[in-house]
Amino acid sequence: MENLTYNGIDFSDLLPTINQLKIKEESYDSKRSLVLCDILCTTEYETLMSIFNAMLKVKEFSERSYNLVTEVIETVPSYYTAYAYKFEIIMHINKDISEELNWLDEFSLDNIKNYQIWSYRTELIKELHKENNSKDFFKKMLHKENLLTKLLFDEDAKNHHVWSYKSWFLSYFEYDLNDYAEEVDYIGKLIEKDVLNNSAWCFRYKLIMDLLNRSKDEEKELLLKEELEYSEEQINRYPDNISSWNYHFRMLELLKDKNFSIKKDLSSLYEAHLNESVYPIEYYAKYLNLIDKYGNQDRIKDLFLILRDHRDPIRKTYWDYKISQL
Amino acid sequence: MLNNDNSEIDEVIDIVIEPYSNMLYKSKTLQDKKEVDDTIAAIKVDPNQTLNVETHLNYILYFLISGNKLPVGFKSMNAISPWILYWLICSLMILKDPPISMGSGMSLELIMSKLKKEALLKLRKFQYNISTHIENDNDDLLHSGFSGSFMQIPHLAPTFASVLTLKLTNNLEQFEFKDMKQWFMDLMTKDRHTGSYELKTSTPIGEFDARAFYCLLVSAKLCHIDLGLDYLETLWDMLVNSQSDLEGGLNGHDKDQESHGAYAFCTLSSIIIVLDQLRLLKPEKYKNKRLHDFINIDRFIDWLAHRQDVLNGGLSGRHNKLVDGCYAYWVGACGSILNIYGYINPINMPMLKSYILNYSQDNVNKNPGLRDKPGMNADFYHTNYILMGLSLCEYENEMYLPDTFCDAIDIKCNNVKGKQVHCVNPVYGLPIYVLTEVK
Repeated sequence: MENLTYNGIDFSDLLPTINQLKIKEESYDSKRSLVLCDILCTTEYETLMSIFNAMLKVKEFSERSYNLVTEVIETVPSYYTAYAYKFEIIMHINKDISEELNWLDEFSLDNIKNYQIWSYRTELIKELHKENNSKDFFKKMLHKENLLTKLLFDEDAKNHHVWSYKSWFLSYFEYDLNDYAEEVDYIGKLIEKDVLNNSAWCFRYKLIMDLLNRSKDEEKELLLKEELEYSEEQINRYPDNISSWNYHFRMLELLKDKNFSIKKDLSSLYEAHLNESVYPIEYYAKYLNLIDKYGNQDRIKDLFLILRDHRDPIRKTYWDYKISQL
Repeated sequence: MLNNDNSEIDEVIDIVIEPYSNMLYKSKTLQDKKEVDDTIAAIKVDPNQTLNVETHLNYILYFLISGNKLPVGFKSMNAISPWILYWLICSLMILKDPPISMGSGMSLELIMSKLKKEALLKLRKFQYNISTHIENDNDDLLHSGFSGSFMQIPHLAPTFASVLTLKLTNNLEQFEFKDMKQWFMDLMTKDRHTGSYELKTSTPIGEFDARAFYCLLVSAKLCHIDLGLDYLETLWDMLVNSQSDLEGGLNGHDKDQESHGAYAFCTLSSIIIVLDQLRLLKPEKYKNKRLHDFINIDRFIDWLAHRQDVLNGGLSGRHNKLVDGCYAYWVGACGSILNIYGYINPINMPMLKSYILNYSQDNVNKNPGLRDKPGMNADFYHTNYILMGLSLCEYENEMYLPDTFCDAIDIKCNNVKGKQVHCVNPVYGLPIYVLTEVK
């Protein structure tokens, strides 16, 4: 009788399935005559994957399958099937989900560019939430999630996966006003650190829109004006930044949409920076268009012409289009 | 809250009077940008530079027909094997009149017929997967999606890559997909807690993002799978409500995310593919409707216009991020699509072409393959998407829809001489000549 051990664990019982799958795979490969980008594997890797595949086939949900799947993920972090299988094992043998998240935290810190960790995390969090949906529990979870995402943002403050996950988490759960205040504060720190971090600006926008929806009318105006001021300060820190100009302009649009007055004349803000960047020219035109499209038509056209002919000629087609729309 | 000691006020004043040049020491964005700008500035631009066809051809063929496996270091690609085939075979088939004169001693026809046969045999192996038949080993049961390697679960991304490879090698008819529709249905679930729909790339664990929509819709179209009105309208509602209010990009399903070039491409193309079908399935609502009836085209154009770097013509995926050759396709295709559908393309395509030819290929050492940017190595992914991006530049004014409301699969091009690559359908990511017989 043949034996099969891996990392000191006996898997001999899987040998018939392993051999069956080997014959199956060979039945495909034997017809082929080109390697066509097959990937070279070490013997150890082949053994690991053959055990994994056999377990999948017989649907083994056990402690040893749990450990082996972890090893597969650590060997090939993008092996998506392993995450799906691991999730099913956890559900079948009632593994502690919090423990699994602890493992995933560590693993995520070493695999920051990976896609699969986030969908896996999402499903684990949903399960955890099914088990316990108390306020207290949520607070602890939020605290823990933020510890992780902050560490990841220290590595890469624009990681789209992490931001998408953070956005999902915020949409899925009920944050209270204190939670929001902490989030806004943290985003402020990221923007302080790198004012050109567009990801942080986008998340700030999401937070502020949520707060806006929760606010009474008189609070709405105040909130938007605070954000207008905030983005103006950030523009003054570094004016050659599309993120802050765009955010600033969106606040103006929202103020106008909601019929709040924009009392202050902002022309001086734009004019102060006209020579420092193309964005103040462009957003000046947008501003003039927003407050009085017809009255400002000539001035807007002049700004577009400056962009088209001098400051931003690469976008000539675009500026011509903008002029044609006047 | 201000502290009693006014230190915060001092700090604010300090920031305001701080000269902008000091920001370079603070902002990682500016540091990264400067590094790239300096590397690029060191390269001399040749306005007459052309594609080094033979160099890239050698690269593609070396991997496609060599007798050697990829080294162990490629093991992460075991999760996504069909992509390698799509990237390389598509790259080969985009090149126009490739000068096959290598040591292989094979003609292009012979190479293509070998690839056709071998791609079919290799991909069969990936349609054998655990969800199609775990208990039964009968190959007659293989009728669903593809997985990233032998015995994985099916996944939308390798399914897309496999279907495109089969289309390229004229093998699609050799496969059956009768269980694929059910699999597609199973991938869409309603979240119990939020009550909203999710489309995952695989189940029970899978990514939910714009790629899922696009991979599913293209695969369904090429495999002639009728998804049904209800299903399509559910996808449609998510897609057309995903435009960012802040930035104007198309985000797939979450309008609050940061807009991203690749996701915007997937969303825009998905919207077009679904609309093509809704026009037929529900004419009372969708007949004679165009893109601007559902999304704010001007805001999208504003966002798209800012993808291009003034200094070098390259494209970025997001505001304040670095240029990358692969966006020549993801972002460039958004521009081409707008142009084909009667809007303006805000991307300066000649400048993009100049970025590709001068910076995405190594003209000094003639290293083969195409790359993200100078200083980076070429890879299969970049080679394919940059060649497709180059095609969009070469055929900028040659692509058109035979009539306003016809299917995107019928996008045509005027056949003009003097191009180095074939015309690519920007929605489907395949050379137009491959798509002519799909209906």
